[in-house]
Amino acid sequence: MRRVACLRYHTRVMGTAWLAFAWMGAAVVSGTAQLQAGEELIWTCPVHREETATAEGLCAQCGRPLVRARVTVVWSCPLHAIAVAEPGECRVCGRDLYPVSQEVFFVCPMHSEVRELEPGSCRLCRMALVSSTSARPHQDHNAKHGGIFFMAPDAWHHLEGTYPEDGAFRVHLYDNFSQPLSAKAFKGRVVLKETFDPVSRETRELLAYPLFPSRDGSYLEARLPSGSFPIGPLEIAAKIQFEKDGPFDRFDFVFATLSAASATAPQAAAELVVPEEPKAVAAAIVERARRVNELLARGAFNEVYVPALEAKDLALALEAHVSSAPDPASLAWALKELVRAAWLLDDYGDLGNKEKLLLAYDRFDEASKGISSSYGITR
Amino acid sequence: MKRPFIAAALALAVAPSTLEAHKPTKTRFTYHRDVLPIFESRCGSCHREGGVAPMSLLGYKDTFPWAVSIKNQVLALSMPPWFADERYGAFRHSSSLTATEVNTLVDWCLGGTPEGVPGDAATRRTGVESPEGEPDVALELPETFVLEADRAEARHDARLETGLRRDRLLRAIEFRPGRPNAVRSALLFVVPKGSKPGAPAASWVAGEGVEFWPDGRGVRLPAGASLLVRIHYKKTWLDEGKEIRDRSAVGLYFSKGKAKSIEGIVVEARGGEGVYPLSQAVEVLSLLPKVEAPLDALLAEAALPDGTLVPLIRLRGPDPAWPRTYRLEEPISLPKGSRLRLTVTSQDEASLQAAHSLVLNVARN
Repeated sequence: MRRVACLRYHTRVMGTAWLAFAWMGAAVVSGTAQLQAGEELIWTCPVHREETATAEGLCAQCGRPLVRARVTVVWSCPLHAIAVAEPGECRVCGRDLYPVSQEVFFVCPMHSEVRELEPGSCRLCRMALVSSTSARPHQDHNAKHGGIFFMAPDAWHHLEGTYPEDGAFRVHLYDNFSQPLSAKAFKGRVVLKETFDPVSRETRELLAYPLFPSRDGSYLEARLPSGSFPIGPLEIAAKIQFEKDGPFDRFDFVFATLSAASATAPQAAAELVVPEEPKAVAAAIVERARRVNELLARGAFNEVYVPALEAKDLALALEAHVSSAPDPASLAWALKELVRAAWLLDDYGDLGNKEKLLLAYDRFDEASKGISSSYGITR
Repeated sequence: MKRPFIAAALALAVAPSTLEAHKPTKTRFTYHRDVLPIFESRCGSCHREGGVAPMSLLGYKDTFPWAVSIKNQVLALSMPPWFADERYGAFRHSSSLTATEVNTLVDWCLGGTPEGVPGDAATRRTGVESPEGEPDVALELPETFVLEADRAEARHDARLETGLRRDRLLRAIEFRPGRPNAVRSALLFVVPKGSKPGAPAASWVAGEGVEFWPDGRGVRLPAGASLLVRIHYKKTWLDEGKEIRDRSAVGLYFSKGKAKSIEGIVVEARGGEGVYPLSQAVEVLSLLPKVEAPLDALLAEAALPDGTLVPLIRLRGPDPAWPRTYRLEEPISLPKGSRLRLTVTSQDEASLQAAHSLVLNVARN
């Protein structure tokens, strides 16, 4: 369902993936790759594989020279480690497959330091190289347990909150490659009630419950009072500490029902149709603003990006008509404001941060009102 | 009906099938074709080699490591540092980004920062505009200012004697930073002999060139007057731990014919609001907000005697680090009896109470 963001968002990389990829740095690939169908040649950091570019350069995180890599897209199951070339269903569980990015390279069965872009023979022992693949940073925000999926501010950790049964809130943790992480490495709590003091500008927690790792470490769990769905959706703020002595990052989960046990299948968005008439474009933006508002109201924060980015592209289409608007300056302002706010909604929706989302929505809403008033549209 | 170019854009950028989105490079924009022209026209006067910004944005290898920061700054309205809300007035030399420019930069920053082909777009103006001709008088600071190795920033006042024996009208006052990568801004005051400095007659902020007053208007420089130059020095992290030496200069451009004298009117806002009644009709040419602490917004309006409210300027999230003179595209005439009102807003009470003000450069009618 979700392309995303974390590809260029990384400010910091941690975890065992460093070690997993560190050896790659020793193996410099060279030569012109003969790409297979569906493959793409990119430049990437030997350590920070999420850093990519289309040309030679230096890693944005560590300054190392980028190396070449061939990547391809394969289709995988949210739960089972399969990779096939075409979309379809998982042969194990029947779930819809979703696309993931893989690196393709050739290694020597005997010498792990030999890693080439092209098939051939090992430069050390002349053995035939064998094809191998590795996962690229996932860019996949699909829920694996039927819950709500967010990305941590460090853009490396990811988490999925579920409410599978009355009184049980669980958090599953992942790295940037969609690989599950042991919950025993993390701390957290759940906040059900809090107050905000506008003078001191501090939030005070009134009702909080600790999150404990499950016995097998597959998730963190908080036991909440039963009967949590008496009226309306259940709002849970989870505060998770990803690093020792680091901050507790906040994630706002809203559950309208108990979480389904299954993974969420990705869904492709419909293609956006841009109307010809400026007023119709403005009306389409207003409609997207209504959908954003609706998604925020029901806590579907990680779905907000779809109507927000559609509104953004509609606004860009409308920019060509600014000079013919009754008040060009106001319309130009509203369009650029909407573009900025749409990107922020996309950003904060990934993070599951309700407060920031609502602030971004204020800007988005004011901009869409400016656009609708430019064309005399009653909201 | 759908436009073809939009359809193509959307296929890549918006509604992207998940397959499209999972490509490592998921933007249709490239640095050389789409991004560099924006940097050249909006950012290049500071973000160039030797400029006041700590990094140049005029080369791919210098730029792409800053992608996340660029995205954040653009979305937060922090960069470019142009805070005027265009709904409240049109100003010259706006560096405000258009909707398309915002989208191009953010999409490129998030989409893999592809380089593209050098020379893909025509090169545009990047530097500061050169003035027409040389100034009539050029004055260097009397002494070299030294910003010590252990100081990151400083404010320095320098007094320049003009030595003029008769009154002159100035069509421009030019500030020329001696060390462009360390001089952030400057205020220039005309100080008549035996007087104290009043409102600044001109300002300069990094990235600006010389600005001439509209024809027929000029700042009066009495015989024997001096100039007070108040300079804000700020090192970039590239110069941390280094001693910086500067000897900036000021250029004076004289009006050749008769001209209306430009004066500065100062409206102060303490506690959030200030009012200044006009005892004479004036023509407002430019506005210099002097913000002493971060604000949510600053709004200046004129209430005319007939009750009409004329917006003069609104700044959104103004940053005290960038004291810029906003020059009106068209002068605004205000009749005698008008009341100038300055309102500032902030969530922070201490910021609200600071001595914010607005200097209006006006010509008397």
